Amino acid sequence: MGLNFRFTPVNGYDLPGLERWLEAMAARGLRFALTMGPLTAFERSRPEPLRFHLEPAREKTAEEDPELTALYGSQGWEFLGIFRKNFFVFATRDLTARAHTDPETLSYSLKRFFRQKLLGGLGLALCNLLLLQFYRIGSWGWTQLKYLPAEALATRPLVPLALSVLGLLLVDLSYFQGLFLLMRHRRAVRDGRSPAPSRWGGRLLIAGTLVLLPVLVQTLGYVAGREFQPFDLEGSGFVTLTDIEGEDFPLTGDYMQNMDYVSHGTGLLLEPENWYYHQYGAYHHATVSLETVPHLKIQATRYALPVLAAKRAEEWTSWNTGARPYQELEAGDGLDRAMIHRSERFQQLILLRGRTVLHVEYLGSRDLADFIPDFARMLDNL
Amino acid sequence: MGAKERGALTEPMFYVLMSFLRRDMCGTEITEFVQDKTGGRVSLGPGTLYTILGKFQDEKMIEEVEVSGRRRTYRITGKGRAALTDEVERLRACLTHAEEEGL
Repeated sequence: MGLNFRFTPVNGYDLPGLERWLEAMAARGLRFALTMGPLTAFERSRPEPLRFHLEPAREKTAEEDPELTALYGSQGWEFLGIFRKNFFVFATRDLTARAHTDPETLSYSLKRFFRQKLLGGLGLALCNLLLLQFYRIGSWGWTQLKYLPAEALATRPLVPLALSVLGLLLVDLSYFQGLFLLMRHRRAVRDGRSPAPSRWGGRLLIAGTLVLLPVLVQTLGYVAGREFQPFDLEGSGFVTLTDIEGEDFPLTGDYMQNMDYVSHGTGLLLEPENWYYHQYGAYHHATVSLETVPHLKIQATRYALPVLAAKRAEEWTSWNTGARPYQELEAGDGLDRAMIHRSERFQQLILLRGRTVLHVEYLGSRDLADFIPDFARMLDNL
Repeated sequence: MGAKERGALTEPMFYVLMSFLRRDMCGTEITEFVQDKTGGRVSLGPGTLYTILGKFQDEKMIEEVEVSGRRRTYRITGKGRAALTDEVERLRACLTHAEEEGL
């Protein structure tokens, strides 16, 4: 029989709340089957009023306790499954049945369970630390974010970091709320009261899980090495130094300065896509500074939003210009913007189309503006 | 650990521990013993019994001696007997004091 899945709307440690929710679902013809993260699965059954009880497991488990099932079975309770490896779920048609008849014993059981979960918080804290370490951006990253946000977005894992912080905050809050509810339930048992149900308990975990899901996909992508996908320069459609200077132009034999591939960061799910490569002409290593050697450097980024690409273009205009600003050119070839900067050192070209922005740095004998159509075609092929 | 440090046993705990005095017992046998002994006055829910058995095991007052399918059999230990004896003495003292006061 197929299972019906529902997001658990109650905090996973809110025992009275969970029991009431499962009873309500059984009355609608959905009988508890199992849990899967923030989801609870139900089997279709005859709608009937049932009394539910969640018995705290002595330690995290995915297996039925035969003795416990026998004890409960001898008093008319049926074992249905395990809730998040924390509780054994029992149900009975006798609505007056009580699984616990000694408040002090129940209080002891809850106290023991509370202490276990408190220790479990150490594991959660470790997860927090590991995930945030994985996506840390360092002090320079924060400086970059302050002054060059679009640049920071392209070169630092800002979105995964932000989602990690938010997701972990929600999950941590859910956890602490659970501990509070456990404590409150235990006090109520000791005092002979019924605690008020928590109305929104499960939503923190649901929200946290949804926020962390793309981070998980991103992290798996990194681990699987899918983020960096370089490809050969030849046949890529990228404009090369040879295309600009001519076939006879000598390129350096130094592979570090004459890339035969395009460095390509796919960005996976949460980061911009990046392309980069550079080429230098032949030079004498011992006597010549690299800054004076004819070269071509191409950098392109595709953002999630056009406004971010436009912002990056603006940030680039503030680089290496000295007293001379960028000159705005007529944007043809399907471009939104084209700007050029000419100095004694080199030429810089910035092209913007939709979500993609291109920066070219060139030192050589030609006018970079003559090659805008070639660069525009290159943007088409990205 | 004396009664003062351990704290008084609740009625269910007391009767569960008592059930082991004559012989080793499993969970369902304990439930029947308590039901018969108290005439139904002391109710032993399955969760209560399960928790008490776990608590007594943790405190080394009972030990598991046999596992057969779903059935686990326990035996009281020396520590368990001492705890039960302490509790009986405490209850006797309470009764004596109450009688002295004319109850």
